[in-house]
Amino acid sequence: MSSVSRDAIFAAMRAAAETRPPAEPRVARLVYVPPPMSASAETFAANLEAAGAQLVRCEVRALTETLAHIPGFAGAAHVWSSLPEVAPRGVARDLPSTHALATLDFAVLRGELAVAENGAIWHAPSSALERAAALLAEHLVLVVPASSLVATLHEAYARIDASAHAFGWFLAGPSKTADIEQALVLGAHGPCAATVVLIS
Amino acid sequence: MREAVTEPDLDSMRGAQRGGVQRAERSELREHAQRAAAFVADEARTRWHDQALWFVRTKRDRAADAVPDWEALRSEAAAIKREALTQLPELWERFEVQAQKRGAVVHWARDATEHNAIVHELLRRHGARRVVKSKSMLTEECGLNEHLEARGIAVIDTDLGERIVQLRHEPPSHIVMPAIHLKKEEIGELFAREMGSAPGLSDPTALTRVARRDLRARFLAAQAGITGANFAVAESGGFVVVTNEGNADLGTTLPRLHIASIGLEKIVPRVTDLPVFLRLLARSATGQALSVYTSHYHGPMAADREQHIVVVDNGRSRLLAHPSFWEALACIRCGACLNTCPVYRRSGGHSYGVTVAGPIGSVLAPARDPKKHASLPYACSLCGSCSDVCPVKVPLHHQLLTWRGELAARGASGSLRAVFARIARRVMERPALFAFAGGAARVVGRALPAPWLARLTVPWTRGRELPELPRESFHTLYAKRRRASE
Repeated sequence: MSSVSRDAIFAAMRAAAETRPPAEPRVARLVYVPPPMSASAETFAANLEAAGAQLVRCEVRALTETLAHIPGFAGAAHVWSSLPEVAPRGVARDLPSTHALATLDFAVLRGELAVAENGAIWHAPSSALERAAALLAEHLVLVVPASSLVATLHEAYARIDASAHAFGWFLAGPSKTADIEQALVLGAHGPCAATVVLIS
Repeated sequence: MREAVTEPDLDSMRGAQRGGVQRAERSELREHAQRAAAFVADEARTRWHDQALWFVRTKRDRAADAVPDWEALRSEAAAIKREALTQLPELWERFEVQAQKRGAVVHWARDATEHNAIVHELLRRHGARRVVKSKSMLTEECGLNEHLEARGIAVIDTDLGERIVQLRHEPPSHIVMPAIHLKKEEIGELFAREMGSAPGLSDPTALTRVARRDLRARFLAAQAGITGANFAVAESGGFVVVTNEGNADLGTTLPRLHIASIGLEKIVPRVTDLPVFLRLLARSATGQALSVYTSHYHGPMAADREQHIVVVDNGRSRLLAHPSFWEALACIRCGACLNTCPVYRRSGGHSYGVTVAGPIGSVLAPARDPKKHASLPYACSLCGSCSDVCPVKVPLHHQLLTWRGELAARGASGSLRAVFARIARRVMERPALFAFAGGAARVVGRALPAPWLARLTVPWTRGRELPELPRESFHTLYAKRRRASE
């Protein structure tokens, strides 16, 4: 059935070009260039706040202390960490199944790059387990180098390779919904809170 | 084996759960205006619905205004989509090769029947009886849930709004906000009945927590995850799924089987095209700078996982061949045209009787079944706001006008409309007759009681008052004024 269907679909797509007027040729510009925009930490902070996340800035050696100041972190029983300098609590790094992370309090992950215009962080999980941790934790913490900040999503795609991994995502704040009377609620299915730590 | 029309009949679906009498009544309610009558009967609710959507529209405006290159982005997005639509065979060939290299399996479905059969076969082969689905208008269009449920597979819609309408056995009324037609008290009653929450609960946060607990358990128990896709990328063989709730991500992280249903029109050539669309999409949809989760899939994440991509035609290639309406395939389903549409805001999504409501739905639906959906291009005041907000510049109101002409030419726009149009044409072609008819209408109109027009079969005049008719025509007034000034 499949190859018959495939052939029929391709034939139909090719035939369509004969009845449709020819499209105007696109100006040969392969990559869109936006006007200059600011990659300032202030713009990033404002957009992060709009997305419902908190921003903390610190120097690399103060990371442990900074994390300890995040409400609930010090007493959390289950902490996933992808950072060698942050110790996990109550979870092993090599769990047999993603489902073992269902009671996770915190997930601390290293983000690759931050985008000023929307407060998003690019992150490519190294395993399904790490991705599950980012979703099942009540509170998501993304640690990102301040030097990685770019102004726009275009620059972000120019820096990362979005197709290099089987999976990668932009994360912009805690999960949210407004499906009940347009009232914004943080914590739909994923984390109820998110903190971004910009490291200098 | 192939069926010409595969879209499920939403009228009869809704009617089925409310009993046979209503089904019989509903099947006769073919016109948008007649279906909207029930909605607009509740004036306070109509106003509330109107304002809720206008609120989203104003958020969109603020977000768009904050982007310095908004119009340039729209032009670029429009150009990329049109380029892609004219190269679909080449792009999908490239996609297939790349996706297979990444370890994904690509399937091809001509219509809803084939799509549903492919998905069912995959689930059956994996022994999956519990499936979580994240918002996908395509699977909605194909009637996948009903197909799988009839074969003993439990399908849970996981987007909060989708879950709400699924529990109510009704279709979504909006492509981005499926339960926008419901009040929180109604959702509270529903959750008390279906999820055992406290009766009388109506706080949105509390209700969301109830659903979160209920659905978390279902995510953990699921054996497969089904998603749609916002964009497929030809050069990399990957696809992007955007959500705010994280439901698509949980549904593809916990189960080891992921099936993604993707419509033919969703493909873009390059990875660098993605930011052009992503900068427009969330801002146009909800006024956010970016959705919370923008997930890029390029094959299964581990050896013990499977990723299947079902590429679906279901009438898209037919639309692609149409000289005017092919551009509607550029749509990225942001919902901005619904939020801004004065008719949609005041008539509700269910009045359209199709999966995709609003201006874009009114362009797409008649292409599927011109007779059945002939009233939709008339559910429009031709104000043009939809075309102005569209991030990919689909000329929506022009297309709706074009549809009216096509439907009339095919004799599908209704006999009464055709008669009026013929009379109007005869009159307008003859200046003397036009002047006489105008004069007669002014005399008769002024003599009749005020709501006389509403007694005619023009539904949109109900609830409105006609301004008092002038004594003299514009022609007469203009001639008088010229004489006076000379």
